[in-house]
Amino acid sequence: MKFYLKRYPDGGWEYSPVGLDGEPREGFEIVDKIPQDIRDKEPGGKDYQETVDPQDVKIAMLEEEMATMKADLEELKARKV
Amino acid sequence: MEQYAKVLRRLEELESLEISDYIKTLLDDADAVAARMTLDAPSWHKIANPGTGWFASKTAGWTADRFTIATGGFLVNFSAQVPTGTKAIRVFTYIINPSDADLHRAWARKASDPNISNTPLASSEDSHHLFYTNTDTANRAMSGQKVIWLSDAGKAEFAVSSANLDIYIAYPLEYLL
Repeated sequence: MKFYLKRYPDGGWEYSPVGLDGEPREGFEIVDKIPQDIRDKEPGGKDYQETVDPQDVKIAMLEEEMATMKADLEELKARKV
Repeated sequence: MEQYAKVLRRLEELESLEISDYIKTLLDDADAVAARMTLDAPSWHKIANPGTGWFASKTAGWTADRFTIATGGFLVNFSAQVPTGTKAIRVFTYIINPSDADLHRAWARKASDPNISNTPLASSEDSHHLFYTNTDTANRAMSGQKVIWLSDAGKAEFAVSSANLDIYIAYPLEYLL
């Protein structure tokens, strides 16, 4: 069975089977099987983590906040010019 | 007198015959209707040997509150798993929010269903929830077998309330045809 597969920069992914129509799907590669590194990270896989370190969550939130503030700063700078 | 009795018996026979024929016609009609209903009525069929592992999953690339794949939803094609004409499937789905404390909501619809808004959250498409939980705890999972209607092409779309949700869909277990 073939799958549409798309990987994202954050390490996430999206896949689903190619159906009978076999229509192309922009932005997706077509693979014969799901790569093992993805299978390992899924529920039931050897690398699947059901829990997340709260500190990691906080770090991610702060990073997101910082990115937003940086974007705001750049926008303000651009306006000033 | 004997002649009268004979005529009367004959009349009774005829009457009996007519009623019998009438009933027979009704029964034949009823059988025909039942046959048509049996042919047309959808029924559930078990998939003998569903595939193992996950059938489809999406852990990134979401846009919250969007059904269509073009806007950040999830499109899954089941057509190779079920017969042509399948109306719905019963399938196990597992949804988890591993990275933040948003509410957990997800929706499903047959692909491109014109009767359901593309923005299920904003449009309060509550009937089409796949899952809903009011917990704000990260890592809280939602799982279970769900009936999901399919488009004529065998496709379904999924939407989530938070871009951080992960959704896993197993191989269909039953189909409605």
